[in-house]
Amino acid sequence: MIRCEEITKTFCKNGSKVLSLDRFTMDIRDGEFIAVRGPSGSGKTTLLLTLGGMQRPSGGRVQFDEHDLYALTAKERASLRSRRVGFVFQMFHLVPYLDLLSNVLLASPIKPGKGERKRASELLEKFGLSNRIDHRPDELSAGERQRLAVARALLNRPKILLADEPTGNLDPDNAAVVIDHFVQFHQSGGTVVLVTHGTAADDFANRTIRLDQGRLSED
Amino acid sequence: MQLWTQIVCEIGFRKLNAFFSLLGLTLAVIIVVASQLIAESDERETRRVTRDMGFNLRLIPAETDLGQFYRDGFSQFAMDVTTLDRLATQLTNNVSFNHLVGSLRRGYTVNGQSVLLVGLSKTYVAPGQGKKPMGFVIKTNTIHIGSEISRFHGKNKGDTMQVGMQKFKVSNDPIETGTSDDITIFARLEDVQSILGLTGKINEIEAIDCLCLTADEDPLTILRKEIGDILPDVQVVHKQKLADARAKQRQTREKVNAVVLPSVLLASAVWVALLAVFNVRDRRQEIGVLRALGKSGWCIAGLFLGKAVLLGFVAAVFGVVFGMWTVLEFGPSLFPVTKKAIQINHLLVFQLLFATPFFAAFSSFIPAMLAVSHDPAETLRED
Repeated sequence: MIRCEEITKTFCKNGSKVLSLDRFTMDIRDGEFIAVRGPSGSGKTTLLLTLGGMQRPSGGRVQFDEHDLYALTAKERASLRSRRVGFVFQMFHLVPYLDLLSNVLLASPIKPGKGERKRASELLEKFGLSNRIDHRPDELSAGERQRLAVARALLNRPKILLADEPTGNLDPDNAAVVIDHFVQFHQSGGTVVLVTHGTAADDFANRTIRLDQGRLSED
Repeated sequence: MQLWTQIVCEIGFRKLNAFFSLLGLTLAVIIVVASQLIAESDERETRRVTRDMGFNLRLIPAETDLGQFYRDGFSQFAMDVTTLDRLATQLTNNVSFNHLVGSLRRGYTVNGQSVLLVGLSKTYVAPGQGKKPMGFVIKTNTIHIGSEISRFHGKNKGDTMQVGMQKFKVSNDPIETGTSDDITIFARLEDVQSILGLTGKINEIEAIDCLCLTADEDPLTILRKEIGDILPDVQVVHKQKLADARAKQRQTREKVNAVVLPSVLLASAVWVALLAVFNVRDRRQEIGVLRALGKSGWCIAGLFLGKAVLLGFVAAVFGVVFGMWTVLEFGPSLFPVTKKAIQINHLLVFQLLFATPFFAAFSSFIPAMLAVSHDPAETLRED
């Protein structure tokens, strides 16, 4: 599904170069549940953003299905992202001024019609948020917010979920609920790449990789 | 999600930012509306006041001795009335003079009193300007008399008075003016020509110069050239004090317009742009996540430019309403002479309703482009 070949990413920080990914090579096959581990600053988030077409690598190549991801135009990459990739972030990144339904519908690549609204309502119900549909994100608990973020990521039935520390701000109970939703997505045939510090996903991930200073140190 | 719904929701969420943008734009629109209407009123007032001050151009036969002219108040020479007709046919919007009145002026004695007898033609106005003739209209068989004549002969409005061989009805209430008008009899040109035995003759054409003459031009040179091209056989005398007063008033208005309006628009544009920059900064995470959800640059730009357009339109409505109200409420006390002419300028309303959203979008363009070019990964990595 995704093939990373010798990906390198360097940043300029305070005038000096920082190597975030160092000739990283890996294949992600359809239907895998991959847990990505590593210390802070090891390049986990950079990897996730690069896989999702959000951050052009300084070197190397990312093959997403039949596409050379960074040979596509920004518009083509955005279109691919909106139809095949779902992102979930540690800080939820919900739009604060929209209600729950509108937040989920934001992920729709087309003007939301009846079908999209029905799908969004079903997801909110599935995630136990159907009674809060008119609320705004700041009226939700952290666990509810993350469930809402996952619901949004799933609206377009993506092929892959890229999750960056999705349980990092949650208590164990809520973390378990969120992980459970990833497991369900995986069981329905989806691919999951989950960046995590914790061990909550260990029982479900069928592959764990470890990053150290931008390099794949364990697979 | 509809773009406009999202914009309205965001405005509702970040009320303060939207309020200050709206305030800046509304104030700008109010100032534009008020200054435009005041400029129009001011020009109208200037025209009316200066018109009421009288003609400031006097065209007299070329052979006139100016010493005699200033001493007696009229030229001893005469010119054919067709001179007036020739000049009148050249009255267009392209010449710098208007309101032509031919006159025949002579000293005359009425029952032992020396008076100035003035015959006035009708007023010629440039076609299509819809301007009312200056001065007063004298009807057939009537005269206007000065206060001193009234006192000397004991004649008042409605009385009959003989001038030469003809009898006329006095049609005015004589009022003392402290000028030569107090010893002047105004009559129709044809009547005075008949009394003086100068049929078909005039000895002066009065006119008023155009407010359009700018400060960096020499008005008299322009007027003399324009008139000289048509009538080479006349002298042009310019009442400089009247012309100066008009020029000063016009220049003051032009200076105010040249400084105030651009300053207001610039300040408003900077204000709106700054608030838009703050808005972009506040929404960096939102921009990042919208990018992650596959939204295009156009979509992101649309959120900011659409917001500017919406606020611009609302500001235009508020600004036009408050601006018009201000002018209609306070204008009449500022411009008492032309207060009836102060009214809503529909063209200006229409222009502002279109121009203000465009102006707001233009002011927000750079911040919107900052939002589009912002690297979303940078924000999303900040978790």
